[in-house]
Amino acid sequence: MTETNELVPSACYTAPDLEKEFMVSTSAERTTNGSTTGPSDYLLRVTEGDYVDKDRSREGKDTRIGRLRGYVTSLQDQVNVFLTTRMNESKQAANEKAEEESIERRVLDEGADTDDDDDDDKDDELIGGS
Amino acid sequence: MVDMDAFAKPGKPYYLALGMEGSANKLGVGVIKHHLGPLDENNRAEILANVRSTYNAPPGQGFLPRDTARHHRNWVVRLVEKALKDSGVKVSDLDCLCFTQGPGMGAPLQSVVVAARTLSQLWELPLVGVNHCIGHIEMGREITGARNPVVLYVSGGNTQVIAYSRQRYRIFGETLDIAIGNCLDRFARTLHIPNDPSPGYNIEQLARKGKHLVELPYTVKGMDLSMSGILEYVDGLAHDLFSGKKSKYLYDEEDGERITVEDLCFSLQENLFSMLVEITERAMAHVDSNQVLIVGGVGCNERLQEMMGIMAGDRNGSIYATDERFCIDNGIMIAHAGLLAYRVGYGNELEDTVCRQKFRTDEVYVKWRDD
Amino acid sequence: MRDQIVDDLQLRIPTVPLRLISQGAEALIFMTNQHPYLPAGVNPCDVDNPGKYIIKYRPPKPYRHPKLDKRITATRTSSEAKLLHKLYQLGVKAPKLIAIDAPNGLIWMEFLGYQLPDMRYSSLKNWLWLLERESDRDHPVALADNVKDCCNGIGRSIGVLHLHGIVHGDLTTSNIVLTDEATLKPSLIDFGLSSYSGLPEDRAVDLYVLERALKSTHPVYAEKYWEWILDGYHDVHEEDGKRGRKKYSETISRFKEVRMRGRKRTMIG
Repeated sequence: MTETNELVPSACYTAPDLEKEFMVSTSAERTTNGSTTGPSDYLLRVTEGDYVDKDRSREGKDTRIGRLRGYVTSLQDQVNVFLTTRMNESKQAANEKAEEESIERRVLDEGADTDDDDDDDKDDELIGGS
Repeated sequence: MVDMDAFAKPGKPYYLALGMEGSANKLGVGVIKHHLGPLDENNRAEILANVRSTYNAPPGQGFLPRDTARHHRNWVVRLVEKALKDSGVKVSDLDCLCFTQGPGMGAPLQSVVVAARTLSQLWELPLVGVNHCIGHIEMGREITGARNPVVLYVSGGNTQVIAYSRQRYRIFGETLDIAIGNCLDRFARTLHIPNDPSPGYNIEQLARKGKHLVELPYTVKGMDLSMSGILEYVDGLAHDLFSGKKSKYLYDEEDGERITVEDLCFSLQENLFSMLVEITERAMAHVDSNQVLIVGGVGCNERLQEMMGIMAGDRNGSIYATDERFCIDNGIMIAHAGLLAYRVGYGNELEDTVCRQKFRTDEVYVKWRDD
Repeated sequence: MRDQIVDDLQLRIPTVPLRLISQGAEALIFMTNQHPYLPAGVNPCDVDNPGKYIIKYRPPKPYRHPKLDKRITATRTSSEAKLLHKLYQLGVKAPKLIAIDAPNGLIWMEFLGYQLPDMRYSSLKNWLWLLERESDRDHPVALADNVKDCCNGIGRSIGVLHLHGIVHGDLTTSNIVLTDEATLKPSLIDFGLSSYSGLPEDRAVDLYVLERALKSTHPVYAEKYWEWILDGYHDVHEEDGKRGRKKYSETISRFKEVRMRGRKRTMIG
């Protein structure tokens, strides 16, 4: 049975191209050690899976504030995953754009060779993009 | 004489401050008490609590901001709870909350300031942002009683020779590239020695067993010094040693014995510390002082203290150093320096609590001194 | 303990009269009227102040490992001596080298400078302080033409050094002296930390150290002084043609970076 004055957090992300709401379920399993707030991938990698994590957050007690900590962690995980994906997408788009501009510049400004037999392939790259 | 009690609460004969430090891999929380009146031999600050937790990366690794910040975030509540318990003070009796505003690593600083802001709102206490270096200096002065020494501040991220003049702690000499602690830490990584309790401490222990002095570049430039060239060189020597190729081994010119890792640590320390003592001596000659105070993590090194002591003694002066409770980053120094500032009217509004990775020692107006 | 150092030296060179005139962090400077090998009363004619000599002595530093100490003492002594000779060859005003005993850290050289009206030694530091004390709004002596010319000359000297791949290493206002009361001809002294370097970084740091020294000890007119010094420095590079101009711009752009770096280095822990 859920208490009516349970503290339940939510979040809202707003951008010119989209709006997204984040919610948590009070019945789902709670933890204060989220999937995105653990030790860094780098650390896990260099210790080859042998890492002893001494810095885990204490688990929340079964009180409103204690449960809130669990909800916040799970909300945090959702937000982090979303933002990371979004960041990677925009980084990839920026890289592609830079690559296109670079090819353009090399051919037009720096006079990259257009006399090769590879000529046709180069044109395909420019037009086709990737 | 500066009026240190212009903002005292009527009827309250003392001040209490809680300080939080987290600019690098040490998270510290301290509670300090000042009685009314200026601080002197008869009116010393009282340390009521000083707790610390250090984040250590595995051997061969440096500490990453992300993991360090995580350590700080997940331990700060426990440390604050312990500090309050150790000190026995009630939250309602605290006057202010002090936190390290900089300099330091972004993410760890941020973790601590968020905690400070939260507590400030929860407990309705004013916030005081503190410069990390000034924390070391003021705590050093208070603990050792040194009134106006030349200060050598040496740690993982800082190497500065500081002298007080007209309301500022002015930098007379500093590193032109990396800090000495950083140099030692990186060499420790090259040697793959443990980071626990600190890479510098472990190098010191190895150095004690070294006896052959290997020639290394000696790079003092006026009042400043440079260390990246030395690190590169000694890293090279270490790689040769580990290479297992007999042709690359080094031998001592005098007794023909093979140079060991201990010898390299010994040589590195002798070289670097001589350089530090030299620039400190230069500053002392420049400002005509014969007292030295060493602060910062590397200040715990006994060989450095020994060398500095010999130099100071030669000048008919003395050195002051603190033990590891205070050399190494801690929360009590933040509480102390913050409280000094608070008492002369400083405080930070919430919007002014932004952390700064590059916060220079000489930016702070030292209103609590008038000498 | 510092008296012990003086006594110790006197014991080692008992026939040389020594008068301590300054003790820096690294070396003691003595005045003597005795030439290292000419008989009493006989002096060379090519020194500014016959009968007055400087003995620069680098005592052992007990805090250093003996091997390191010997190495540093001997290296610094001989580097400084070689450099003095090189400057002589280049025609840059500097104390003339007379004799050297590197392992014992001794350099014998000519004495440069004179006594200022306030009885102090004619170092740039003392002279600028004197001018500052004498200056006021109606008589800004500190900004007179002769001061400007002197600063230009200083800049030029540093410029010649840099053009020949030499960095001074410790440019403070105590290491620049006026050698003649009438002409105010400046001379650089104390080449103990000098080195040969082709790096813009090292030249930039050389300039940075002097600018910082000026700003911290002579804050009132430092900006003007620095401007005049840089003018002289620039002129001598211009006169060297394309190579000089290139060197100058490399140095100055590095100099700006070093200035910023002093303020911007990341500090952790």
